[in-house]
Amino acid sequence: MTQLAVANGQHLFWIASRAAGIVALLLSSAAVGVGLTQGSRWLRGRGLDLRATHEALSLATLAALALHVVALFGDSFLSPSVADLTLPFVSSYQRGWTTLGIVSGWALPLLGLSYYARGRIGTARWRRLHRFTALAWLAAIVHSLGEGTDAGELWFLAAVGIAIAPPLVLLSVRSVGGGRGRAQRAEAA
Amino acid sequence: MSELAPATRPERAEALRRAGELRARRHARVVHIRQVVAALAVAGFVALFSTIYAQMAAGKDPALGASAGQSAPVTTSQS
Repeated sequence: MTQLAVANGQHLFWIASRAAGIVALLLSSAAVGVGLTQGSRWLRGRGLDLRATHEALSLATLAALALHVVALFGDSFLSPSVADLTLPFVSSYQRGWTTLGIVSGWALPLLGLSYYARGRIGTARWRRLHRFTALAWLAAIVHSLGEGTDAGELWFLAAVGIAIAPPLVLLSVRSVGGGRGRAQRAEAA
Repeated sequence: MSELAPATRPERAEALRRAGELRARRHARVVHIRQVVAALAVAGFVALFSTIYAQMAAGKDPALGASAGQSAPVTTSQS
């Protein structure tokens, strides 16, 4: 048992990275879900709560994402360089999935933190920009399913399925609604 | 005419006091939401870390399999 504990100790950074990655995925799913419910008809009057929850979930996602990446630097087996984990197409390890993770890993904080610069960006432009967060979130899901060590585990698939189903439905509804709205505006014009 | 008259000093003070209370309540609510989310995130991380650690110790890790805890990993991954 001591031997097991010592051997597992060698993998502590890897375990931490896996756990943080899953937490980041669950938190980002919740953040996207809450973000999509903002402004919906049936939740009027809860704007402050929804905005505070969305912001807290988004910031917690970024913290988990940072831990997911930083912990990998301590993994003695993978021992990645800074470029391996920050630049697309550099790592030789599962290049496609890793690149997808890196792209979404950059997009999520850039698009998320742009909220605090929306005064400079312009609210309308920022709103259009912020919609791409959903794409970064989808890329993160694909990255986790393609490269995640636990992607084949039932508990992982169940947790991720439960977490991503509501925002996916909301996103589909929003996309269909947005498309109809645009078509109606185009007809009216 | 009296309806259009500016608020008297006591009325203004009362309005300011109410606004201050409302602001404080909102701030407390936001802080509470942040604390709940942070606690959930930490609890989720600890639970997942423990689960993966126990899974590895039991030799059932999806990447390491039965070799977990006995030798260097044959393969590794991230996430």
